Formats: sequence, C-alpha cells, structure tokens
Amino acid sequence: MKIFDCPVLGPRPASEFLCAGSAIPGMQNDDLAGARHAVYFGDATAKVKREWWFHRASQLWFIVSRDTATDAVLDIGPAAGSGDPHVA
Amino acid sequence: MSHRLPPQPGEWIARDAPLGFTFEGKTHTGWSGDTVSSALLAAGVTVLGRSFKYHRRRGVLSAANHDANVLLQTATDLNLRGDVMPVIAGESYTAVNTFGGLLRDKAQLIELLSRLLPVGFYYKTFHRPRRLFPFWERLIRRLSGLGRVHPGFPVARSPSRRLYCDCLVIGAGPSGLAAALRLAAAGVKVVLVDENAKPGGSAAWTAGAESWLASASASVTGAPTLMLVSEAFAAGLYSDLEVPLVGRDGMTLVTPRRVLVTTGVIEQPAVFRNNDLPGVMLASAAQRLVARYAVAPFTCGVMLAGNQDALVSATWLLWRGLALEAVLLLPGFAPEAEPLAELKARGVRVVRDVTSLEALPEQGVLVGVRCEAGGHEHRIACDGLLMSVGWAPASQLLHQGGARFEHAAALDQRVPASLPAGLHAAGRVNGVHDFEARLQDGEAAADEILASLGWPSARTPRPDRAQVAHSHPRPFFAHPRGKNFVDFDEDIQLHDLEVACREGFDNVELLKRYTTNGMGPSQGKHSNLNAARWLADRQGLGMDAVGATTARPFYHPVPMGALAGRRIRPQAHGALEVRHREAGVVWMEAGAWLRPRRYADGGTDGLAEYRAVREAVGMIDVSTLGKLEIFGRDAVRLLELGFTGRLANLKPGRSRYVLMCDQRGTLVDDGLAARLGEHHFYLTGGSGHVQATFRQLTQIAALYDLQVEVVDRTRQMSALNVAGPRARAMLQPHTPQPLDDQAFPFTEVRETTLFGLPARMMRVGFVGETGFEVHVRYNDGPVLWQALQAAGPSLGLRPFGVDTQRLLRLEKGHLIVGHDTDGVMHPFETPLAALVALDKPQFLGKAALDLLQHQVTRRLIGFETTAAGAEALEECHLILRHGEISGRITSVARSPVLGKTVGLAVLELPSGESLPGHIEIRNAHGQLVSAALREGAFYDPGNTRQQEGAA
Amino acid sequence: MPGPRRVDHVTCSVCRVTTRTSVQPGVRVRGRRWATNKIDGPMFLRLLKYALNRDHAEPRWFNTPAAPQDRYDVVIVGAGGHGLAAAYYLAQRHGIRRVAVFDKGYLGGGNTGRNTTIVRSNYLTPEGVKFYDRSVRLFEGLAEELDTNLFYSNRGHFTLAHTEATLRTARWRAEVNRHYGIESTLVGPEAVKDACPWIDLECGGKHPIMGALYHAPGSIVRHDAVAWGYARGASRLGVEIFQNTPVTGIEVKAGRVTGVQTAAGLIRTERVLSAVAGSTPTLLKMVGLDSPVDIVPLQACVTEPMKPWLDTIIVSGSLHVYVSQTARGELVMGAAVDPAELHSTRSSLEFVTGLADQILDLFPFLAKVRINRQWAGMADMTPDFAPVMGKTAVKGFYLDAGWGTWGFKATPVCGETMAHTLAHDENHPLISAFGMERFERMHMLGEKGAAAVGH
Repeated sequence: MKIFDCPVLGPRPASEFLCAGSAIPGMQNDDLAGARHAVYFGDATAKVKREWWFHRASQLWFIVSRDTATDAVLDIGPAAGSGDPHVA
Repeated sequence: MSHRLPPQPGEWIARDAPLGFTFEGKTHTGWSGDTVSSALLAAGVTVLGRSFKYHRRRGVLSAANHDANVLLQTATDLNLRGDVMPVIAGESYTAVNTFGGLLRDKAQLIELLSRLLPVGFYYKTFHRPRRLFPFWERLIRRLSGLGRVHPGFPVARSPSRRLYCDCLVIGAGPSGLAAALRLAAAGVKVVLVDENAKPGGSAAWTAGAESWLASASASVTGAPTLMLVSEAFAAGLYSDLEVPLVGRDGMTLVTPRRVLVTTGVIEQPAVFRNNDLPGVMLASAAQRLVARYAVAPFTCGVMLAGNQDALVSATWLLWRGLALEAVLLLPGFAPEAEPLAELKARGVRVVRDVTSLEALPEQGVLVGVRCEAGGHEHRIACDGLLMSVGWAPASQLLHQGGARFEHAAALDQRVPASLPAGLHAAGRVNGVHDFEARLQDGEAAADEILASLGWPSARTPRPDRAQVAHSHPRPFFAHPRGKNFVDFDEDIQLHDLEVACREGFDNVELLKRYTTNGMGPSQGKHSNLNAARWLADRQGLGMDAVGATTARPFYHPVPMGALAGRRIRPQAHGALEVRHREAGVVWMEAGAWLRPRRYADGGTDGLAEYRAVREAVGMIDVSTLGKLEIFGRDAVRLLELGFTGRLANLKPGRSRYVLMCDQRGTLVDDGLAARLGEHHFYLTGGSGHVQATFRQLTQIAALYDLQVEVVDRTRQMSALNVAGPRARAMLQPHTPQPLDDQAFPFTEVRETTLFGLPARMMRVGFVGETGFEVHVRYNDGPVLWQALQAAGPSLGLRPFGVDTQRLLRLEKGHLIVGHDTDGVMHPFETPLAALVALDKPQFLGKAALDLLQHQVTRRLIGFETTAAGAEALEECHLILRHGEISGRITSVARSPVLGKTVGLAVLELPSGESLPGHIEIRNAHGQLVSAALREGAFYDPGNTRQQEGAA
Repeated sequence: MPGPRRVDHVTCSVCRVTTRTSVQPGVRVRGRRWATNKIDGPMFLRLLKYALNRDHAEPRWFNTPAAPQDRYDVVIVGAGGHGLAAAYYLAQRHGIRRVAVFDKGYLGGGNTGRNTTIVRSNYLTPEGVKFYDRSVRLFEGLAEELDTNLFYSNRGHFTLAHTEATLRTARWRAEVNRHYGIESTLVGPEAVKDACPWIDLECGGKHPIMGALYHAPGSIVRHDAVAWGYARGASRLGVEIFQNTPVTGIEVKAGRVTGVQTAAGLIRTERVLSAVAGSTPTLLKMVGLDSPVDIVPLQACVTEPMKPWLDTIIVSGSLHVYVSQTARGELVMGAAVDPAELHSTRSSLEFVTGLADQILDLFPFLAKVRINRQWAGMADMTPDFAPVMGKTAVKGFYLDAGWGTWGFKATPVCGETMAHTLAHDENHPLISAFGMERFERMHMLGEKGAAAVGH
C-alpha cells in the first residue's frame, strides 16, 4: 500500500486520495489555442510531476510531487494558497 | 508397516492425539501435528499424487510447499498442499486430477503418447482443420486443470486484520530468530512470521543447534514486544513495505517500518531420468520428515551429493538412525575428506564423479538407482534417493521490494547487491550459510535496523558471505529417453528446454513462456534456477547475463476469500426511507442511494401518480439531489469560473440554471444555483455528480486562492418537490411566506418556515407544473412528509416516484445530463447552448468551447410521433438515414396527456447540415418509425401551467 | 493441407495494388536453417514426425541475426503483437521485406504477454465496430494462415448489466452491432444463468444482474502465440527481429525521419512505426511531438488451474471485473486501470483484494480458489478511449498507439492497416477516424460512452 506522509494529515494510505493530474488547463483567456493544446497533449514521459490529489475524508486538496517512474512521493503539501505557478 | 521413528528430539507430532482420516477412500491414522503427507508416509503410502501432464505417480519432493506434487481435494476445498496441510480428523482427501483414482488413473496412458507431445506441441497441432479445434479444445480442457470447484463450496470470506510494527522479520530460521530476539531485547516492536508450525527452520536438523533452538524458542515466548505469527506466509512485498501475511484464518496486513527478510534458501533438485519417482526427494525433505514428524521416508537410502551440505545431511540422517547405502558424488564436486571418511567408516559406499544417472522404477515407485562412474555401471537397490545438489535463495520478496541481485561466483548463488531503504536481508538468502555466521548475520541486521530507527544499538559486523559453493553448477544428466524433470509441476524435461531453445525461445523469459517451466502452482521455486543454469550453460553466458524471470506476488497462492476480506457494501439511507416504506415503495438503486421508483398503489393504468401531478398535486423526495452551499467573498467568482453561465448579475433571492463542463468542453453536470445573499449561494445538482462537482469547485478555489468555503450539504438536508396545479393551495396555509406569483415568482428562492420547520423554498419547473422545492434539515424531512400527507388528501395529494418524474420532465423536453448526453457531448450540441457565456473572461472548458461552438456535428433534440410501431421504441434505438446509422434516441415515453410518443434523440449531422423535419427510428421489431423533430417542450411550451391561476 | 503458400505476388486488400515479390518467401538470406525448412502437412503426419524424430525440434521460429544491417526500408519499434503483425503484413501483403523490428526487451514481453486475451467486436461507434470486426475475422483465420495454433477459442462474451444505465448502453451496443451484422444481443438474467449456471444472479444481494449484452463472437486467444506466430510468419519472409536492443533516438531532418539510433548503432531508414504501448510518450518525444496518451498501469491475475466450469467470458463493468477460464484451467481475471499515471509494472495489493471481493459477489464458491500470480502492464490511454493511429506531423513517423486496455484484440487489424499505411504513406480507410490530429480539433470519438472496463 502506498502511503502519503502528509504534513497536515499524517501518514495516510494513497487509496484515500484521488489523483486529478497536473493542472486544469483550458481556463485561460489569453492563448486559447495553447490552452486547447494543453488539454489533450503534454509530456507524458516518466519524470517527477507535480499533481493535484484530493483527500476524500478531509475534502482537502494537496499538491504532490511524485516520480511517475517509481511512484515515489517526494513532497506533499496543501494546495490552498500554495500559489504554485506550475499548477496554475 | 509403520514408518514412524522413535520419538525424535523436538518433534512436532503429539503421540497421544491420534487423528483418523481417509485418503483415496482408505482409512489412515496420523498424529496431531502431522501433515497429510507425513501421516501417509508414516503409513507407508508413498504415491500421493499424479503429475499435471503425463499423470506420472508422484510423492513427496520438498515436504515444504516448494512443489505441487501432492495436491488434495476435499468436499469443500481444492488444490490443498498435502506436504504442509495439517491433517484434519475425519477429513476425506483424494488426489486431484485423476481419472479413476490415484492408483488406477486412466490418464497415465498419456505418458505413452508423450513422444507425440513435445514441448509446445499444442502450438503446432490441432488448428487444422479449423472446425475440429473445438473438439480438441474440449479434450484438452477436460484433461487439464487440477482440483474441482463446486457451487456448494462455503462462502469462506475471512475478515482481514491490520498490524503495525517497527520491524517485520520474515522467516523464523536461525538468522530470523536471532535478529528478532535482538530487536525485541532492545524493546522494538517486532513481528516474526513463519509458515511452519514452529520456529527454528533448519536449526531443527543442524547438529549441535538443538540447545540453541530450545533456548531461542523459549525466549520468543518470553519477549513482550515480539509477536510470533506461525503457520502464515508473507504473500508479497508491496509499496511502502506493506506485507500481507496469509494464514489459515485469513489475511493480516502488516505495515512495518522496516522489513528483514530471512527467508533462507530453497533446495533444488538434480535433473536425471526418473527423478520424479516417489522415493526420490530433496535431502532437506527427508530431514524435515524425520525432525518434525519422526517419519522415516525410506528404509534404504542413497544420497546424491553435489555440495558439502549433502555430507552433513547424510551424517545427520545416519545419526537419527536411518540407513544409507551409498553417496553418489556429482562430477567436479570435491567433498571435504573428513566427513566423507566418516560416512565410509559407517559403511556408506561412495561413488565419485557420477557421469550418468537414472532412478529405477517398479510400478512407478523408486526401487533403485543406476549410475555410471569411471567407466563402471553401478546398480544400487534403494527406496529413497536424496538430492542435495544446491540451493536457490528464497528472494522473491526482496525482488518485489526492489532489491537487485547478482551472482556470487565463489558461492555460486545470487545474493543481494543492493537493497532499497527499509528493506534488509540476512542469513542464507543473503549468502551466509554457516550456522554460527547466520546467527551473527541476523544480529548484525538487527543492529542496522535499530540504528536506522534511532535506537541505541551495538554494531555487530556482518559475517563474510560463504566462499564455498553450496550449489553444483550443473546438476543435469541428459538421457536419451528423457523423463529427467526440471519442473515437476508442469512435467518439463531437459529435452523440452533444448527443443525450445533450438526453436528460438532461447532467453529466460521466452523459455519460460514456451515451455511453461516455472508457470505452475509452485511458480518455479524448484525449477527456475535449474532452467537458468541450464540456459547459461547452453548459451555460454554467465548467470547474471542470463537473468531471471520476474518474481511477482504471490509467494504461495492465496485464497480469494482471504484476499476479499469482509464483504462491505455501504448503503446510503435517506431520512425519508421509513415514510417511503409505509407508502409501499418500489425502490431503484441510484448510485449509493435508494430512490422510490414508484409506489404500490399506482391505479389501474399505473398513471395515478402522473395524474396527481398534472391534475392535483404530487410530492417527490428529492433528498438525493446534490446540494452544495457556498459562502465567502469570492463565491461569485468561484461559480463564474466553475460554470459556463453568468452568475455575477444574479440577484439575491433568485436562482439560475447552470452547466458545468470539463476542460474538454464535455457537459458533465447541470444544476440550479440559488443566490441567498451577496456572498452566499445554494447549489443543487445531479445526485451522482455532486462529489465531482465539489472537487472541481474546491480545486478551482485552491488554484486561484479564493476566499470561499464550499460545504457539501447533500447528506445534511432533506428535500421534497411539491408540484401540481394545487401545490400553492396545498402549501400556503402552512407558511408565512406568500406563495403568489407576485411575492414568489418562478425561479425565485425564499428562506422561510413550512409547518413551523425552517425551510428553504425554491420555485422550480422541472415537471412542468407549479412547483416548490422545499429543503429542510435532514431530520425534518420525515416530519415535513407526514405533515404534507396529513394536509394533502382533500387536495388529491400523492407521492410520486422517479418513473413518473422522468415522464413528466420528458413531456417538458428537459434533458438529463448523463442520460440524454454522453461522455463526449458539449453544450452546443444540446438545446442549452445559450447557457454558455463565451464572453466571460475565464471559466472551466472555455478554451475548448470557444472552438467547439463551430463544430456542431450532432444535435440533441426532441421528437414526437403517433406512427404505428411507436410503442415498441426504446431508449438507444437507432436513427437510420439511407440505411446508415444517423444517431439514436436517448429518452422515449408515451405521453398520456398529449396522446403521442415523445422523446429526445441525438442526431448526427456530420457535415453541419440543417436539421431534417423527420427522422426514422428502428424499433424493437425492426420496423422504421417516422417521427417529427421538435425543439422545446412538448407539454405546455409557453409555461402557462407554472403561472398563478393555472388549475 | 497446404502450409505457407509460395507467394509470387501479393495483393493489398484495400488498395488492390499487386506487388510482384522479388524474393520467394522462405529462401531469403543469411543462411538460416529456419529459412528453408518448413513443417507442413496434416496434423497426424506432424504428430508422427514428432514421434519418429528424436529431436522434436522444428526449425527456428524467429529470424534474430546477431547484428542489424545499416539500412532498412522500414524500422518497427516494439516486437509485440502489433509491431510483429505489421512486419508480417508488410512482407506478406506489400512485398516490403527489408524490415527490422527492435525491442528493448524480449519478443511479446510487453502488453501482448500481459493482457487477458479477450477478443471481441461489440463496440459502440460505427468506426469502432467495423475496425474490430475486421480484427475478429482476421483472428478467425490466423492460426491457419500462420500455421500456429493460437488456441483461438470462441466462448461467447457476456457484459453484465447491474444498473439501468448499463442496460441502456448494452442495448445501444446491440443495436449498432446488429446493424453491422455482428451478433450482439441484449439478454435477460436467465440467459446468463443458462450459459453460466453457477453464477449468483443476485450478486450477494447488492447490484443484482438485470441483464447482459451477449456477444457471440467473443473469444479468448493464447496471447504469446499471436506474437510468436506473427514473428515466425514475418521471419520466414525475411523480417529481422532484434530483442534486448532498445531504440534510443529517432533522427528527424527537415520534418522527415532519416534514421533510428539503437543500442546496436545507427540504422538508416525513412519509415519508422512506433508500436510500443506504454513507451509511446518516449517515442513521441524522440520526434519532438507532444503525447495525447497517458500511461497508467493495468493489472491482472491468474488462479491455480482447476477443472473446467466456466465456458464463457464474463465481464461486469459495475463490479469492475472480467474473467475467463483458460484451456489449462486457470481463471484469468482483470479489473479497471489504476487510478494514477505510473510508468511501472509493479503489482498492488489493492488491485487483487478489490478484485477478489468483487469476483466473490458473482461466484461466491470461489472463496477457496487460490490466486497464483498477479502482474501489470502499462496501458497508453487516450482521452476518448479510441486509438491514435496512422501518419503524424513528422513525415515517415507512423503511430500505432493509444490502445489503452483493448490493444490485444486489435492486433491483426492494426498490423494489416498499419502495413498498408506504411506501404503507401496513406492512412488505411479503416483507421482514418483515429488520427492524432483529431485532438487538435478537440474532436473525441464516441467510444467513451462505453464503460472503462470493456475488455
């Protein structure tokens, strides 16, 4: 079982979380074409990615840095107020 | 004749507790503590099973669940491993996969055909002519398979448990015991697991280890932080060190901080003609049988020796009173002089450099061995032939955990080269073979673990790995007539490997897949290493270059009942459930919820509910609606970002129909957004989608750092929709809120009381009549229902269910997202295009919708018909144009009030052509039914029914 | 009975272009014994041959030279079923035989060897139905064509419906299938019980079976044999296969493929087919294209063998399981894809516990049956659950990807259509809807209407 060692919730099984991927593209006003491309296309190779994960029990969003080659979680923190330029 | 030895030191059987059982219909008696195999061997029964392919007689090979020779069937279970299954009093066992019983198995004739059935033969035969293959396949299916399942088998789910500890030690042999005791002595919480009934492993047949084992076993019992789990095996090693332990009572999921693997080694057979005869077994099997069950597996034995361990075992067996006739030394094996001299002194013949070898059968059972050495042929009569030629590390769990192994040449064994954090190894699996060194290795590993956990610890040095080979590099004896088995589960012979290689299947993975070597129930525990050694030899490669197949879970097979655990199927219960039951409800499942489909008393035509709403008043429980409440300074901004329409200009006290799309522009949810205050909204939407909508909104809130709270009220509020021409008359006496159109117009929302209960009321029109959706606190739902029922009869009030609601909404032409739309439909393909405000600066799905507005290649639109055959239209019937599929209908019903069939259809317009006036739908009888397309509502298109005075 | 025919000319089924073969099959090159020595004849003769021949060995199946040549007409990346089938049809139908197939691992070792071997054509969209129907038809004659018994076993396929929504989708599929002459029928619970008498229609009291989509052509096939059979067929025609030889780069000059960098050196070629499932994003990156597919693990498991009791293929989208019984007697079972991107074939305990929990709802008496082994593959998922195939923005780079969880059943038709596409630099009509450019237009195919667990 994958464990997320969460600074807010403590260690929790990954199965309590839902992965929503890297970002919500397609909301930008400028560069609609670029936003559209990002909806369907991206770099899907294995690497460390910053992803949105939702914890079902607490109903909180977290930003998780995860190596998609190994499933290793490098960092996890609350999404709210993270101002993370990558995910925005 | 009993083959039971006099009491052995530390034996596991209780000689005061006899157990009767039957095997193949014959009654036997064993002792408590016996396995089925040991009890049968003690009774002189040596043929215990039949092989998978050729149905050869088989007996005990490993006595340790490293082979599948002895597989048993009972009335309630199948494929039981006789070697390790404790015998149960009164149980009846039979061998699996025989045709006419174990001894008279008719399928043994297959062996006569074995020349016709070389490896991979089934890839080369039976497919021509094609029409005959089903016949062959039926035959093959009948002959293959092992045990039988029966639908009467008990539903044996066992609840699983969870266990947390600092360190899990897997394997209670010498190194595991030493490590666990050292960890426990430091106060660390340790779980020690072993698949056997008692700890100790090979210490039980290590000369001089008896007193250590006795004291270690006693210490285990006395250690407060040490938990010994016996008769359970670690089935796999998963992410973050999770290890399921599987015992006969189910599964325990252990989440340790550290794992120490002390699983030891698995003895490997030699490969020679007839090496599978009952009577031929691994030396360690004989030792297990003697030490644990006091069973003499033979009266006259011969030891095939390929390593130093062979002489140690031989000496030990002699010491325990067994008779050994000869020791046969494999070519190139140079034993130490001293133990060899001792064996000779005790009358054991020694035959060196055996160059050819076969076991000799009589009626399928071992009666002797024939070998050649130095140009001489030797024939030695024996009923036991013991193989001690090498070991494979039991490294499966380490591999699963991400360990990397490499071949240690001197030891001739794969040893861990690197281990991931948290995973440790010690003992023979780590390449440390001498008894004292194994203890030290265990203690050193324990010290490393203590240090890594931040506990004070000594720094015991790791002993050196063994520098003497404990395995023979080539324990193979070719024979022109074969039957020299590499894999006993699958009847794979040496020749099969050669043929496979010549045909091009010459790497370790293809060899496995083509021959099925290692694919049987014991997953290559006794065969993978020999196949790899053989392949390395043939290809002239080193063991590392040859590689190994992947070690995947499970270590031993795991019953599905243990994996499944307790059956948990949560059912969401609405507050009104009891009221519905009183009303004679017929339920339908709706996601996690039950919803009233309809009520028992539907009138003679089943339309009483429908008529109540259209002609008087009805009420429906809509508590399962998704209900979100949104507070905060940025509430408007959030909704404008999340939904396609405008909400900034919505006045407090009003509501608006809203759509949510995903980033691809697909319509995923709709709902009603009611503005209760400047920074306060109440959002109702689809029952099944509310959690996804909640996630989407909160994600946007986090993304833009909005000052807003979203609260999921779905399970906190009950809701009823009271609708019909008499709805206003029905409710007005019980609320201070004036309900007339002036004071409370359509689409507006009021917070007031109803029957004295705090109520949030919304004027809605889903079913096409004057309607009030009343939201109250969860527990007030049944109170409100009862109050309405008490007040309603004079006005003709009836509760109505989902079936009626769907008919009513269809008459109004309202679509249901997810029912009339599919997983790729966008709003511009529906009548809801106007609800997308593309001029908004930003919202979810905007980029996609901005393009998709110009790509309308199909339309969701209403249709109506009175044509013959309309009654046989069903949802998902196809629309045809010029014989080609041109769409489908998504909803259809006979409208009682309109006297025609109405519905919604998705019509393909691939070139953007304009809508035709008519479509043709193929009904259940294959007839084409013509229907007219129609936009908007079928019933009351001007919405006059929802205005005051309509009655 | 004829063995592989001596082919003097071949005709592409679509373009009707006939190519005169310059080299006869079976006699080509590099002095391999396999190349001239074919085993033909009726089965009993073949069996007799085994009995009389001490060796038993047939000629080598695969043409695996020690080193590649420095130029090929076509380089195929990925020696799985798709890549090998494309190689076979290129050689067999189009006379293109200077073909090399490279794989980073062993032949058929990716998703071809990891799937649950179900073949069916009960799709939802016309383009999907036509495509998979062609695949089923090719499968039916494949054992004879390749002279390899694929254990193509027609079992019938039930997609169980436990909800009204699934029942509607089942009716939709049945209507579309029947329109194209494919035998799919909406049936009631009693028909399920007839075909599978031991099933618990009540499913333990929650989500009872309301009906099913019965798809008569549904079959299972021995997956390895498909890869081996195509590899043998291609080898006989001169195709060269290189295992354990990763492709590390693709040379693109002025928007055209010029070569492939491999562990065995640079290979010059103007046509490259990517048929690598879980490694698709890596290949796309090599030619500078963004990826429309994401990689998620798909897991499966197998029980110990037992005597036959399950003749049909049972799929339940609501319970997220599918199960069939192999000729050896094992139950092969699978579920939906894992919930997050991962480029790994690790197994998870959640998968196998969840699967067991659901399977026991359908077959409660299996509680004692033991699962022997679990494994995983890397599925390349597209946003609309339809593949991405054909030509790409890079001239000479052809894609066969996006096969998600249903790639095995498309193996023959992918080989056939990609071979045509490569041979003529023109998308085969059957795959014209599957181009990658549809996502630039934000167009999705309707197959997503089907449940995620289709298999």
